[in-house]
Amino acid sequence: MNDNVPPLFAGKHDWLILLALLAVSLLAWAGHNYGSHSSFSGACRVRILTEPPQEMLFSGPQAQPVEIRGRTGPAVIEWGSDRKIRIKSSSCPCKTCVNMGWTDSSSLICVPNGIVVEPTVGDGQQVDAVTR
Amino acid sequence: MMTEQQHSQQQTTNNAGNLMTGSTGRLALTAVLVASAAALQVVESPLPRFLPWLKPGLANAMTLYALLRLSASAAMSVAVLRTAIAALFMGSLLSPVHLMSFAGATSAAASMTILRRLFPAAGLATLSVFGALVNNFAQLVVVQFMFASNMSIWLHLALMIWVALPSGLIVAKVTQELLRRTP
Repeated sequence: MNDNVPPLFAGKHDWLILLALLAVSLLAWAGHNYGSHSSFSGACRVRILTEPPQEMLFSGPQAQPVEIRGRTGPAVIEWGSDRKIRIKSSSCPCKTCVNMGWTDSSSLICVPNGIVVEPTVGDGQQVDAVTR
Repeated sequence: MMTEQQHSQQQTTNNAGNLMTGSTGRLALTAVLVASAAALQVVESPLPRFLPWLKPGLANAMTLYALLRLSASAAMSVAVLRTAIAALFMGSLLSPVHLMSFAGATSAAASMTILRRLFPAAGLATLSVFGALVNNFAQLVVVQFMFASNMSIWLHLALMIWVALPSGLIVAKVTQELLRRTP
């Protein structure tokens, strides 16, 4: 046994750093709530980053789940009764995208399958104006 | 008066100590850490998760061990090589998944090194939680550049921070036990 081992928590620096992390997390949580759209219409843009890349625009919730095909295979996008969106199933190995659950604000991204689901505002465009 | 068994144990400990201080021994230990970290990453990958990103990240314990027992360059070597070997085994070498893993692991190693330089007295939990957080942050940066067309992906940061805290504490405890049980 080696007794010359650093402790888990050493002193006030540790608590300062951990408190700073908690402060950042609270700020991030506030940002999350701020970014949540209570009047979300269910519109979204789905990008499939295959060769060639594909893009689909949905102006609102679809009655039936939509099946798309990504890099590793099929994935299903579903709208809930409150118009939120989720990736219901995906053929990716880690299922992080499925575990991310329902969203009305933040994008759902499946990296292995190359699928990006972006909630949009209004008619599928998230810009206020286009200038030249 | 030492018994023969105690003498033998003492000699084994001394040999292990000498092995650790020589360059060959350090290289061998780095190789063992790379292999262990890659194996842990491969084994952890298919395990079910109750929350997105919620996995212990035990491979990071090998990086932290290398940083504390060997050097910053050894920790970086462990991070770079273990992601490449694990990606090779999982069939994702040079894919976006590998790039995310690489960015996360190397950023965690670099950030833990910097934190240790700035605060030499920092505890294992702080180093580990900070590493876990920077790992997640770097992965989000990669996703942002490669996939996202807007900034809404950053709304996941709050959840990622909460997930980094328990996983960082688990990694810290594992590293502490490894340090305690090895010469």
